Amino acid sequence: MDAIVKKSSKRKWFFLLVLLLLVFFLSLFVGRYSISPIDVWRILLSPIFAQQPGEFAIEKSVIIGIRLPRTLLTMLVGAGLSISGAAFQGLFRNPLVSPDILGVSAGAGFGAVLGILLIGVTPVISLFALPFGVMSVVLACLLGKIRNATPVLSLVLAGIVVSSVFSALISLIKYAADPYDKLPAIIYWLMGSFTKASYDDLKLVTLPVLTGITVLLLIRWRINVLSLGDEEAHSLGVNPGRLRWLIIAAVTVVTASAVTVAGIIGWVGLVIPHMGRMIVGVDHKALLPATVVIGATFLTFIDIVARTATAAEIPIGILTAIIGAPFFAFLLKKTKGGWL
Amino acid sequence: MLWKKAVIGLIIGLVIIGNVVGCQPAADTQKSKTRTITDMAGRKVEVPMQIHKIAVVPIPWASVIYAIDGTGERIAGMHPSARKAMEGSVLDILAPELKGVSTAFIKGGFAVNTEELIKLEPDVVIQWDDQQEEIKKMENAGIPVIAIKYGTQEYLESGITLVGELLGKEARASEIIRYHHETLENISSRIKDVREEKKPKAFYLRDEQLKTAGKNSYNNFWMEATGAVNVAADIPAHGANVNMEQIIAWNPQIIYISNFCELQPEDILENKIKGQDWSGIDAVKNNRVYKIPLGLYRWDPPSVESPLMLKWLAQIHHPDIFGDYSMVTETKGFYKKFFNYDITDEKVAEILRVKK
Repeated sequence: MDAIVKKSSKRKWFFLLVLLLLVFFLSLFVGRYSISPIDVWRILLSPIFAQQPGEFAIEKSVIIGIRLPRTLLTMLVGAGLSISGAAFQGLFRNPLVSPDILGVSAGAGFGAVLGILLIGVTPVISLFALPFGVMSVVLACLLGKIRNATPVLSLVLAGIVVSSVFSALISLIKYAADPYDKLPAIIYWLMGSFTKASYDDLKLVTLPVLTGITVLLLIRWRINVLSLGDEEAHSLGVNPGRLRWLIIAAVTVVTASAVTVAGIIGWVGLVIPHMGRMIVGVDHKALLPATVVIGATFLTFIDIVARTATAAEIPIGILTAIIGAPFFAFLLKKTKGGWL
Repeated sequence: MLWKKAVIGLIIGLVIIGNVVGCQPAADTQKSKTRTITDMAGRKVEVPMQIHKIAVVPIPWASVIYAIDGTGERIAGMHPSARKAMEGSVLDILAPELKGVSTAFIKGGFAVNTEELIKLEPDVVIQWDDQQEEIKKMENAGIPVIAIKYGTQEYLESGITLVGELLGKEARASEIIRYHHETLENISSRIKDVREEKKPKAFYLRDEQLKTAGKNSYNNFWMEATGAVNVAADIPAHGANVNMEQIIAWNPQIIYISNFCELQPEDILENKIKGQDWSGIDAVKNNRVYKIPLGLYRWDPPSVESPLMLKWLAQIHHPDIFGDYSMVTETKGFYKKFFNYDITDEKVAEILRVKK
């Protein structure tokens, strides 16, 4: 029995990883600027097979300068947001939770929008987004620190409060912004986009996001224990309080970084964990790594559509909902919600 | 017990009196006779026979009203973005009276703070026709609103005629419109035989987030009217954001940077914007990146100076066909004819950012 189970799960993993690889290469091959597949291979392999200098200068700029960093970034953000969502759903024992619940997206969004208002759309706004994101979570934690029987519930309520405040502040900034200049920039930024993905962005967020993901992966079996309740957790040698803060810290770092480079992207953190559960089950040991792979694949695929479907770039937050929701509904129907 | 009731009764009494006193209907002003004007939204608006004070919400229209009126004296309020554009512009020199004009009645976007507006005591307010709630709000406050439409040459000309009627300056308004027509006819007759392949591909850059102008925009109009092709013409909207790859795919030969943003041609030519590589694009390789001028007002949207914009563009797109005039002379002539102002060569060079 074990052997059969193991074999089918190995097949699933193989399938997931192959899909990720396919989407990665698809993202490099596809775009508004047509490059034939052979030329793409030649450019990718150019460190090995030398070329005439100046040949393919534009194509190189497109593939290495535009598509590659963008693909890496979408994979990073997709993985980060998904594993954060799964971790939080385990932590709060609620399948409707997303990483935004403690206000990190609203806070980081506010920070970035404030930066746009005061300075303009420059890389400097990342310096605004990150601290505000972290600050909003700290506020939510302080607010939710009530000694009662359900610390989780008070955290959620505190998160709602903090999110609302920062959302209101974002609205205030939109109100004050110049309608011809700053306001369109702010609105576009808030809808989420990877248009300006660059190696600088990667340099900025790769370390925090990978660290957060690694931490969450390392503690993934303890999240299973959390779902048993605090007393059971203690008896199994897990300190639930400390574990909670660790998860919150990791998720905050990952999500704030994601918002900094890509704006507010909804749906991914909420729905990918469910897709993961459909495929590998509810055990967090398998679920968290699965969400990393599925999330990276999903967001990269959506971004391919966002930047290629039409001449104008479609904000990715819109697409994740439009593509993700029907697909999710389809899966829901097909498995009859068996994993819920 | 009794004194409690007395206190409550007193409070209620004060509240009632307060409401009655505070809400007196506005005393019927002894208005001089009024007339009815039909605005661009088809509304019949009653305005005073003589207009002494106008509040202008749309950004380019402060300068248009100045141009039609010949003075800024009747403008009581304008948009803060128009005020910002004024700094360093020709309007600053020609109309110093506009420096003190209030912008406080605009509270974000095109929304109006009614109380601030009432303080200005305008006889009429000009507003965009799509701001219907704002228009209703102002009418409820007893201020007549003239609505104008945005986006095409026809709307611009209808608006000029309307404002001319409003201000009693119909002659001047039709002179301005005649100048627009003459310019447009002149240019279109000369380019009508130009073949498609000869039309340069142009790209309008609105901001660093790679927003451009689609088919329905005025920018598209001025590109096509002067014999160029808008690379973004297959986007049906007014404006849309694109990505760098799409711009590389289009490979425009000319890039126009909007005067609404702070970007300068050097930022594109020297690749100063992070995450964007413009170096492979024709326009950059051939040093054909232009910042849209600002004379009285920015030349991007429909405005009084649109004919100058068209002439400037025509010369850039087809220097062989339009080599018979100099933009310096045309600009000087425009300001002399309509404002009796002798603009200096240096100022014109500054406006047109003549490349050294």
